[in-house]
Amino acid sequence: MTLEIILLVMAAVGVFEGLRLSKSVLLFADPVGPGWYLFFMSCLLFICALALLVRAFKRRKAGQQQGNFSLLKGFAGRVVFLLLLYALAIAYFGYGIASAIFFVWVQRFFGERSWARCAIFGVAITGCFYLVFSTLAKVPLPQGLFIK
Amino acid sequence: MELGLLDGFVRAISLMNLWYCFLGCLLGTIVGVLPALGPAATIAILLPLTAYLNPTQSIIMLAGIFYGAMYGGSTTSILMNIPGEAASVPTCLDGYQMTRQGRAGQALAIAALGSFMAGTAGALFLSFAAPLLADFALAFGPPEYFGLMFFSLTALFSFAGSDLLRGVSAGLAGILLSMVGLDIMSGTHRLAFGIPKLLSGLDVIPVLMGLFGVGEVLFTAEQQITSVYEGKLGHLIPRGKELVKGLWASVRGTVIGLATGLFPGLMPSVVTFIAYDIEKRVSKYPEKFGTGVIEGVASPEAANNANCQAGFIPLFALGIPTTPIAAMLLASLMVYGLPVGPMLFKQHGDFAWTVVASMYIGNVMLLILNLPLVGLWARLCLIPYRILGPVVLGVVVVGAYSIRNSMFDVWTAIVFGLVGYVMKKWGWPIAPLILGFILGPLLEQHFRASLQGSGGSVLIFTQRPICTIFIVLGVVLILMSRRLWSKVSVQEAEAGDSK
Repeated sequence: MTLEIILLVMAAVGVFEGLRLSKSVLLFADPVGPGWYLFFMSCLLFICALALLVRAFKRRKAGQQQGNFSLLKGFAGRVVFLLLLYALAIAYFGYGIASAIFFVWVQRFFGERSWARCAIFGVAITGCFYLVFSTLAKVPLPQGLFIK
Repeated sequence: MELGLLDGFVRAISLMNLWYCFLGCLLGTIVGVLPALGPAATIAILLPLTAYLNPTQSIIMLAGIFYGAMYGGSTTSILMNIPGEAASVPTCLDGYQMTRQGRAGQALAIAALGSFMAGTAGALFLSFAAPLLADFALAFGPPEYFGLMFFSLTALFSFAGSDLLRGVSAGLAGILLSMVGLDIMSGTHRLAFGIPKLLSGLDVIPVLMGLFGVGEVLFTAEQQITSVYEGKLGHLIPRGKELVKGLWASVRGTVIGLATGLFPGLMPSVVTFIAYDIEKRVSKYPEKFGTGVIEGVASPEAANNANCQAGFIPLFALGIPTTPIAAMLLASLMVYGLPVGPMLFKQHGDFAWTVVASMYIGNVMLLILNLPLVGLWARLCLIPYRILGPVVLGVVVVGAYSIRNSMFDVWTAIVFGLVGYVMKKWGWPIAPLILGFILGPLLEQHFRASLQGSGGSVLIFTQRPICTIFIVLGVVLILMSRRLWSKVSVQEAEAGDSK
């Protein structure tokens, strides 16, 4: 039911934003303006999300629940958490250091048991990426706040 | 047309264009073979890299990945009973049985020949039909375009999976997300809530990379593939009656693929099931299907290649993507500032014809790549996911960053990765979300331009016959979709849902 609730919240935000914008002065040439279209689409989404939520409630009552899984305990949750830490680390420590640590760590999550292999592949992947993106494609990869 | 195509061939055989065509076909074959990585994910993660190429080379390569994956998908289906792509699921049914009977070589050969036939027929159809359709569409105004967009979106939502309500909701959510940022007509900020990074809106590439790249890695990492085919392939080319039967089935598959490829929502993953089902119905021995019948391999393989090639016709002529991958190609065209729709052939004929010509060349390359090197492709499945997964995640992070040199895009990709994973896990269709996100702004633009022209009267949509037809068709499709889905098998529904 999580996705249904997220959609309902999204739709509600859209309805309020659409109403707010529909009060702005409309240009003569544009009878719809930026608000009404958003309002209309949000209303449609609200109706659909509400219908989905009601259906989910009915199914729950009937004992037909969709597959439950825990993001916090599961593999995906751990990887996403690591990705978020990685993005944060890039901003503070720069691309090179953050990537080397990330690639070593994430391989463990993906089932690599040997720390030595994790380290070798981690450093190798970081080096390859640095070569491709920074040297060849000339992307100015973040240096990090602390390093700068 | 003839001169345009000839010119296209002259440009397509330049060394760089040939290289990118080969690279696209090679990557496509690899991702087609690898069950853990689909063409949508590959194109999504490669989009930022191709931004450094010129538009022609970029689209040649991305298109090569798309149709190359359709070729490659059959290899693991036949040899290991592991579909590399959702579109290759029906190929497993008879292809793997042929392998067990020591006829793997024949199955691989007919799949490659059928794919080549269908791909070339698709390129030919594209060469003739796309310019004609583009000429016809030149007369379209904003109301006709609105009608067309409405029809395409409703078709895509309806065919996205067995649950219409979820499809429509995901599509509407995509439309809403596309509205974040600056309103192009009035310059007003919408849904930005005063956050400076949101003022320029959500970039399509990190969203794609997250939904298809991160989401797919997270989802498929939970499944491990360990087996690889070690047996003999048998003789490669089918002989006598087998060859004739296989080729005729390929012709039927090609026709089905070409016809369905023009319509939004009828993706290769669904069309291959339709082709398999039709083949079974027209066969004199339907009871033998599933036991190693050559037609059961030839027809779906031809259908998915023809469908994929035919999808370029509405994309190039009207700017309408029929599949999520076509939507990514559309996004790529937009990034380069190329006009999407009928003006593409008029204003950038050299680009369009070079890409079309490259498809003929790409099909030949794929035939050469797929037949003699089949053993190598089968062994690709041995690449451990503990290396492949982290590499894909790494490319997503650095690729998302490289678009605007902004960490905000990296956060966007991660968040949408989580969204993609959760949607897949709970069986929500992802295709409508991304198609709503890409087509949403165009739908709004044509809707508002139509009302501008009519002075605010919605009757404009009923006064223009083409527009009215499209809107009515869209509504009928929505109403009928439930009935249509109730007629398809559980397996087909699952294939549709997975896209």
